[in-house]
Amino acid sequence: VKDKKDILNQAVERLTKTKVSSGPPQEVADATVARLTEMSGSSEQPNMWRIIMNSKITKFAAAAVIIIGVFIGINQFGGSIDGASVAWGQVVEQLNNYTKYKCRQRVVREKGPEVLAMDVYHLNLSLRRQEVENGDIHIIDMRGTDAITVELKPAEMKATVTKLLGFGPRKDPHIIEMVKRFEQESTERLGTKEVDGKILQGFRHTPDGHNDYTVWVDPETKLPVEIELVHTQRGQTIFLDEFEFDFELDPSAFSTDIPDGYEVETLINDYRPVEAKDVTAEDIRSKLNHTAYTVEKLPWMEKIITIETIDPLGTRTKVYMTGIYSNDGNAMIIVQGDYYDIKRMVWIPNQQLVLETPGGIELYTHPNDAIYAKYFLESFAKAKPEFFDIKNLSEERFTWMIVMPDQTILSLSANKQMSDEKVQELVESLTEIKEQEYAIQSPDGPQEFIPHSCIKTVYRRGELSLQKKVYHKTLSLRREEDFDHSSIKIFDLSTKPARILILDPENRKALLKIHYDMGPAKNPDMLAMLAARRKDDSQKLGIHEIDGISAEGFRRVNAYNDITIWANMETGLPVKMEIVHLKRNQTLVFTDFDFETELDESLFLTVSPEGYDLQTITTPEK
Amino acid sequence: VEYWSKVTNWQSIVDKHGGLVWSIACRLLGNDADAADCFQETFVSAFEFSRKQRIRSYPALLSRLATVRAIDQLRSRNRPTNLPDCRDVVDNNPGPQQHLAADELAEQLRLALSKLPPGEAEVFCLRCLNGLSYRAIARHLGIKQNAVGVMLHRARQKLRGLLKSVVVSDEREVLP
Repeated sequence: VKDKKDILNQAVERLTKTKVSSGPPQEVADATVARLTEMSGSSEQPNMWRIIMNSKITKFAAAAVIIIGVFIGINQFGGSIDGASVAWGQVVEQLNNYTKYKCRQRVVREKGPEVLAMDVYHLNLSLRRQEVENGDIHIIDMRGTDAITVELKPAEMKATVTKLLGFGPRKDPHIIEMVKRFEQESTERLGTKEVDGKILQGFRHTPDGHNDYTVWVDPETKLPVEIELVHTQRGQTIFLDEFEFDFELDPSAFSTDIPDGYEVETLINDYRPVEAKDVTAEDIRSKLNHTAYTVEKLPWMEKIITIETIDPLGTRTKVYMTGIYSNDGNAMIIVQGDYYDIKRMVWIPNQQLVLETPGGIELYTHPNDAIYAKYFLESFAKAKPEFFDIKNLSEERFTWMIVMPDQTILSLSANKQMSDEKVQELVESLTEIKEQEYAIQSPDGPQEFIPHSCIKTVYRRGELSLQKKVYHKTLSLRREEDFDHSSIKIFDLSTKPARILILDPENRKALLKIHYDMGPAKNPDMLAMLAARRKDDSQKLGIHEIDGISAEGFRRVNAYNDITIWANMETGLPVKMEIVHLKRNQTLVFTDFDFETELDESLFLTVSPEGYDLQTITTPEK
Repeated sequence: VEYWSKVTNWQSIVDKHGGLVWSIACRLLGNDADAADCFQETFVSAFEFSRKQRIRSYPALLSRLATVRAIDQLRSRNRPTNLPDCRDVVDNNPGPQQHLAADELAEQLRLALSKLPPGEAEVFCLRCLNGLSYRAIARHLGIKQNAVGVMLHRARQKLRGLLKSVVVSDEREVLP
């Protein structure tokens, strides 16, 4: 309760009650707009694509999809080709005589990353080879349950194999297959044009608001010579020409085996269906490619349960659904997943902005509002019948999209209407799940720790910044020595206050920093690496020889770190570890591990040695 | 994608959010002339911000920038004289004669705010004048919620001290 006699409260009240005009004088507003207009005349507007593609995480996640290419886009907008009937006169009849074909593909985009021109050889609907103009070769094999893409870079002798677990079997929805679906009645004749002395007959087909096809056919062969597909809403046009039907190519050209001599990188993307299961905040953070959020419990929330499940909307991706049951009988579901990506959600700004919190969180309507709410609630009720009974599904249900200030997108569905105040409270309770929290709570992390020494090398912005010998006694106690012994640092973060002793042996000076605002804490780099060693949910990199030792590689990427660890095949202990701090543009490399030499306690004492001139600093200043 | 990178229509932003910026500037600065400078500086800062990154919430950013710019002005206003007495402030920014004593209290708060470290003044204004939650302030300033609480506590203590000293000195001066 505010003390009304308190002079500060009185002053604040006076200030907030000061009458001010509702807006600036017109000349002030005009002058401001004029200045801004003048400034923006010379400004370069930010390019969102550039920002997105500069992110290492996004590049990593997008790589396989880019290789699979533009064809997926057709499938999304044009529908499935499975079971389609064909009826488009002689052209379609002729096309049906061929099962394989080759064409040249060029893509022109108004915005976005450039797609290089390529020759595409379709052996069948599930297997193709792409020869890119830069010399790269892609093989895409979607015949099995686990689809495989192979990207060969002959010039660099490098290969990237991406396994898309559970992605197949699927048929390639290539443009020519879509062309076969045109119906005579809805295909417009365009007349003729001459190309290389040949008269071609044109056809146009616009099946929906997304795809606009123009096909030029050789009247003699009754086969396409040129096809142009405009993706109107994507600002993208695909040109296909140089068709060859029944091309001759050795079957080995479609093999996903890597030729000898190539350096191979293997990536795994998991599309397999998962049984719904309970997950913790740290599970979510480690599995999402963007910032993960957890709900902080508010007084009106009776139950909060978070589960991992397959997206009920059929995107085949994993999503994390947090169910919140309120004391007034409402069930709310907050959904987050990698599919909720700014690139895919371009339609959001065209929706109605329903709420904007003072903290900058925006909520937008959803075009499939009630249907999606039903899917999410049904899926949650199926996994957690005790949380929500689907019989109670209400007609008031709704879905809104949440756009966090850092551009992370989540969705909110609720079974019943909610007041703006409550929605605001709910979304403001979303808290970023931080790396540190995850690492400290890692159940098997600290137990695995073994005292050791190693060499730590730090690269900032790609350049060598420092190199030290580091002795880790525990997760909270370490000693760092410069190679020339010009400086020794001992970090004791095991207690509060934390103590850091810096020794200058040459000048016999000691500086003791006592941090009352730190500790007890654990070294986040060591914890992150321990987490990466949990083989079950890290990506396997295969076996390599590191410093003469046979080592197995594991990699774990999250929104903050890209961690690679090479572990001795015999002992399981690290041989080399690398942490890329994605947001800090800094790379830490740990090598030359020694787990055998015993580390004497005295090396870690934060007490000034005899004969040293000691200076003590406390933080915050006492 | 087009939406995210489209050219910003500053006319519509000034039209839509100008009232918010103006009210923050006027309230904190107490006169139209200073508020006009603050108004323009706020939008110029927002423009510069927009060149570096996309602005997700104009009201949130503008209210913060307006507060920071206004505090800057309060501090620079008092820098040359550096006199603690509130009368000097009143002299520098003469208000209408009918100002009540209570309005002087508001003026004294402005003066006191100008003497706080900028970060503490900003946290205080965002919380107590703009009504932002601890969470929202923490998010804006990139600090922890606990740190917001600490800064707010410090700001309150200092402001109380400054306001009391002003009141005491006032009382002394009116004594015969």
